Amino acid sequence: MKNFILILSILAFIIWPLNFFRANPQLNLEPQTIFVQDYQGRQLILRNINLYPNVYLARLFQNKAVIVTNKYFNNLFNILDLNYYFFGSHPREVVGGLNYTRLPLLTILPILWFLFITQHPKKKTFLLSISIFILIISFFINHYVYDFILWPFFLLFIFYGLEDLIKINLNFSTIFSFCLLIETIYELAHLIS
Amino acid sequence: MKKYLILIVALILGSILRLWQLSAVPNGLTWDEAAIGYNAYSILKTGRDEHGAFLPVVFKSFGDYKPGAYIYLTVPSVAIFGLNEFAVRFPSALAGILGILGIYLLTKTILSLGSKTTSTELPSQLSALAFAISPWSVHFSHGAWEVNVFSTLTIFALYYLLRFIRNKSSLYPSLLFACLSLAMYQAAKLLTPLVFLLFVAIYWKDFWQEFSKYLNPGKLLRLAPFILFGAWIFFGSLFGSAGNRLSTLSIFNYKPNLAEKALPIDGVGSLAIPLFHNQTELSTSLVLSRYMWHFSPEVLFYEGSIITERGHIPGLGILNPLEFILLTFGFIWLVRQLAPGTHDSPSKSTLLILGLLLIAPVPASLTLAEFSTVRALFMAVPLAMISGIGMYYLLRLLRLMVLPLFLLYFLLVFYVFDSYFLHSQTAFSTEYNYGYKQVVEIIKENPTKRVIFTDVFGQPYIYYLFYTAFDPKTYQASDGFVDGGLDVGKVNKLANVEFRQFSSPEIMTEKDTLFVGSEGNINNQFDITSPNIALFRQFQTPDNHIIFRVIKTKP
Repeated sequence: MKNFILILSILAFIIWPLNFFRANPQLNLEPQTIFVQDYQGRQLILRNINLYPNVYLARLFQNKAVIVTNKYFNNLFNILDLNYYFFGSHPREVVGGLNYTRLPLLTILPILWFLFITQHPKKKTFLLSISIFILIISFFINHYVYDFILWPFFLLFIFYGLEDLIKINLNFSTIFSFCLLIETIYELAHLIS
Repeated sequence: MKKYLILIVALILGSILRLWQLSAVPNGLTWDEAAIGYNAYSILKTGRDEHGAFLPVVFKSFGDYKPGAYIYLTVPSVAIFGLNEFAVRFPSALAGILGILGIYLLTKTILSLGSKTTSTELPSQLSALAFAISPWSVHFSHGAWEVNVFSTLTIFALYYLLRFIRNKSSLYPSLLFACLSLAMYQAAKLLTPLVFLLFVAIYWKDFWQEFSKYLNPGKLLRLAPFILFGAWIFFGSLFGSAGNRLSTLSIFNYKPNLAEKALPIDGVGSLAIPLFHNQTELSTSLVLSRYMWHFSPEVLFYEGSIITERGHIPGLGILNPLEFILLTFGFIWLVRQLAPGTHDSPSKSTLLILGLLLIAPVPASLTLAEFSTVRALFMAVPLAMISGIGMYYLLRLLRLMVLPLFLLYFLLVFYVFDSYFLHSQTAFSTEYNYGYKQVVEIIKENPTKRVIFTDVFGQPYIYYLFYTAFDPKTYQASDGFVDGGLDVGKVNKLANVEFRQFSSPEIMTEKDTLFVGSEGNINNQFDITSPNIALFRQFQTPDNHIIFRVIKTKP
């Protein structure tokens, strides 16, 4: 049973790397950080400054740091969005980004199950590690190029989540695994076609 | 008294936030608000709507067929306060305040049904507090949003349903609130049955035990009016002209003909076309991605809806950013009740609250809009419950950390509402059609033979009717409404006012005429010092964007 779960998890997960290498064959890892000069961002700040009643308030809320923090939070929330993984960021695709389906939708159940319910001895380590990686790659405008750092975690989440689900309800998990297998085959066929 | 201190604070704070600057924030009126106000005024004066229909249940309005309940709620408000912004928004604000009490009652009942060991009073009062200061709820209480009243009615419908299940009330109050909710809001036709089904399914045994007492001719006869009214409202909005509006908004009518577009890439006879580029796959993925988008932290806590600023506090998400922590803790507390080993069976209260959260975005996911804070407003109800539970859990877990955390939270609450009441007018001015009121004042102060009013911002006639409190009987008799087919219609002429586009040369030739136009109609090159110009006025948004230019020509 464990082997079946492992194969199913790998099959479901493999869509992400396949899409990654297909969309980014040269694997250009040149970093573009949120700290690069941004003319448009500065213009926006200058425009917004006029909306404040005095210069002190304007400086407090509209300054150069705001350009950087806004970009950081944009990236962070993009990575935290479930649609980033399951629907290629739709409906908020990143312009020029890698907007592809990373995981089959049904893997959401084992992932959330693992994140919220499974009692695993290394769960805290996993969560802390993935959080740190997410916080780091959010510094890059092209964070979608570096999201391969998250691959092992998602593979583990799917695997441990499925394993735990099977322990709890074998009948449901069998039907669910079958559905996941069908969706995975469909997504893989879509990818190859 | 002391026992209910948090609830009393929540009610006072919630009332202040919902009633303070009710007419001024947002600084204008949406088309629907103006239409609701004028139709209520028309009903008050003549018993008929703007089109002359006698006490209709569904109002034709612009051709968008508004459910009538909110308009009837506005009638007494208009009678007391007059035809103005406050009167139009007051029913919604009141519903928001009552919603705070409703959240307390519903959370308490849900939690007391789910577990006998957990304290119910404190988390319920904290949920009411979370709802009272929810930016989402406060914002929608500051506008004539039918969905806000619908949410409160549904809260009470569910509360009385749970009381019925516990044999503490009859079924009638629950059915009454459910029927009113159906009459209140279009999406209720889907949401109300779904939440009722959830509650009935989870408590099926208890429900059936109580419901079986109603299976006698006398009681069934008393249920009949509710069932007939519900069915009438339900089916009335699915078919006919009202149904057209529903199909215009539906995501299932988005058919870009994928197969044809994929043909040059995949080639004729390719198996990929029917397999991967079909309408079913597209519709399914659009619905699912829209549904998931409602749980995006970006929308909830950071930037809000991407489409329009009308549905949230500009520059902020639809929730308080720090509510993220409360929701996480609330979620952990709830999920722990579901976790195997902690209980013999999953906690029903958890299933109910999480079920409500999962059902709430369903109607919004079936429409063309990618995210609608309006259609998804009912999410604020389970989210407030989870936040309240999160506060309670935090209080138990981190006693020492609670004070600084709550201080930070309330500091952020202050920041959020400071942004809303004092700094949001620049963004709201275009979203809420700021300027119409000022322009109509100019029309009233400067009587001319003709008025030519631009229709570039849509439905100017309703603002003219609203701000002049135009005699409904005269308007009904003129009936200048032109149907728009599947889309909304328009009025081209009303008394001496024409609603249409015009250009600068027309101003030079027409005498004794008041022209109300946008920057496009009266551009910067127009010579306002020309001898036939008697008056020139310009109206700008708070961030200095020109909305209207008014020119009066000499007789």
